Amino acid sequence: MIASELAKVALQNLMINKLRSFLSMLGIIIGVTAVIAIISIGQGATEMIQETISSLGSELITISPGYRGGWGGRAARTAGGIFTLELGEELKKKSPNVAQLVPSIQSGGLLKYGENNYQASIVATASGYENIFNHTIAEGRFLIAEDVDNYRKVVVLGSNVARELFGNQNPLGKKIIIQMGQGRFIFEVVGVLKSKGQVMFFNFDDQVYIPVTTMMKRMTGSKYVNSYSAQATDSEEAIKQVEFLLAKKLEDPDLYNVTSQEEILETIQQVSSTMILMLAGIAGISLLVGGIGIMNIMLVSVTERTREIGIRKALGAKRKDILIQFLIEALVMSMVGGAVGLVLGWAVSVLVSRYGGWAPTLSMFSVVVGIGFSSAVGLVFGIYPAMKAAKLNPVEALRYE
Amino acid sequence: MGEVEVPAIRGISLEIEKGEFIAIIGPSGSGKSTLMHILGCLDKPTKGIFYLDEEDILKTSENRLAAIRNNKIGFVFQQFNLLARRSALENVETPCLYAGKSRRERIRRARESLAKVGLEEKRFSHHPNQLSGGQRQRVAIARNQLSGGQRQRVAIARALINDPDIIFADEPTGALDTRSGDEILEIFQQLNKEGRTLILVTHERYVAQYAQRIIHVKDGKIDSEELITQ
Repeated sequence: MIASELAKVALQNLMINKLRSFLSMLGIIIGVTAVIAIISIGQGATEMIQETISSLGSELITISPGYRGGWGGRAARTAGGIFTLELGEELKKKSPNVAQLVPSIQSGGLLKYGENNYQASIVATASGYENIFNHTIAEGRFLIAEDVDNYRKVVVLGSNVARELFGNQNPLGKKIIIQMGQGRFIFEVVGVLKSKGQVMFFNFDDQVYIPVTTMMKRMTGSKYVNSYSAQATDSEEAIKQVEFLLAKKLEDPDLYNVTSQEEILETIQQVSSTMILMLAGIAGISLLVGGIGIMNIMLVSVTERTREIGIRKALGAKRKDILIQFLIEALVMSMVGGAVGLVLGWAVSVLVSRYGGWAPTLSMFSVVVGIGFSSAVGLVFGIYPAMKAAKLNPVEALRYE
Repeated sequence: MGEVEVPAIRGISLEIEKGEFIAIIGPSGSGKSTLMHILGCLDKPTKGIFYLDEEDILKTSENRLAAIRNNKIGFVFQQFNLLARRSALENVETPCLYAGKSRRERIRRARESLAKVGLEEKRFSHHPNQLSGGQRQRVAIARNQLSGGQRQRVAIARALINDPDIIFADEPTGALDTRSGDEILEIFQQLNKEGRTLILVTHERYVAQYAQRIIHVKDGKIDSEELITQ
């Protein structure tokens, strides 16, 4: 008895009960669709995030404040009042593997030019920032040392901000108003950056850059900066040097964090792969439920067709023939369900990736998982009903009404 | 309460020669069906000896029994036992399928077999795989429109397809009117003349009369035997 002939018999049986076969497949279809879509979307999104992060420069080091407190009933909060401009200068001078280091203060404010206004993030920093973050100047210039030394009220605009405020006008040399808290400050536009796009949760194109000293002396009166960004020649060595210096200076290691871009990339990769696995696992549960659905319908089918099994046995069908026939029915249901789910999952991930702005990826992994899991489900949940059918006693089966 | 095993037949000693036409007759519950199931290798007796063509059936594997049923034996049942929603040809070719024959061979043999029982008309010998969806539907439906006599002929054609030595018929006329019943019995007689062994199970004396030897079964035992002289 050739398996292909039994497959034909199995297929004919499935076609006889089209609606029932489809409904039993539905569980598998939904499960595989979910697994494929989640894996594919997750991978696409992770790849995009990684790409944009590495576009910032791989030797980027961030020195940020640590968290303070957080126990004994107090909420943890970012340690403030630690980083001064002088500390930054010292770190740069004394760490041989730090090529460039700039302080920065992140803030937000409303920008106005004539009738137009735009809510932007304000980054107060110094010359060199553009090199560390791989920014390119579209027009004019970035902040220079003189701007910082003289507390100049000059601003460099991200491409979105420039477009929103100025439209097609040339913004260079124009005066804009920056409203921050209660204060209103007039700044002169000296440069516009090229678009860089969305990186994770913030958009560089929505930022504007002003000299860090201007922010501290003229706007907030603060003596401290939020963080330092540095460009290293060797990030591992640089981190060691900076940490050594900070440890000597600040003593408490909880007050600061030194992270490199590579570490951030690794963390993101870990977090996202854990997330993908978890979500795919949840989706996998629906595969399991789908498998139980198939088993259920196969058991019903075996009972319903007891007489048919008896007839087939009387006509010379061996146990193996009956087993294979029913197993193929279960397998066809689960595999066709898997294939449909694969196509649907792929379609979903293409749609979502178009919306999310990354290239859709269909990895071999997700195809193998989708098809492999669904056929495994068919096999596992199909074998019991098939064995039940194969073991039927022909005389009793023939007597079954 | 546990199940109590009640022997359906016991103490039966019976020898059937090749080419005989035997009728097993008895009231319902007499054990005649059980006897037929054992003789037909559908069931094994719990105790005793049963040789079929010098093969000890009690020591035979399940697979071998299936093979014997497939190529040595043909069954015809009271309720026809055709496979639902399949065409006449598909039904007839099924034993051939389990014998591992090619599609072409199966269709050729099935048509031959159908012709032997007087069903050579086109509508019986269509193979659904050669038909379009709509036609296929009609052929399958046509099977439900067959008369009882025609259905039993399809069943006989199916029993004949692997050219078996023995044919078992369990109340083959039970669901038929007298005229088609007679036609079926005549087919059996013809098959017996071709040299096949025929074993007919019935409770009607009139049907049993077609055989050469009648075995009366009562309460699981052979009550008496009689030879019919025609």
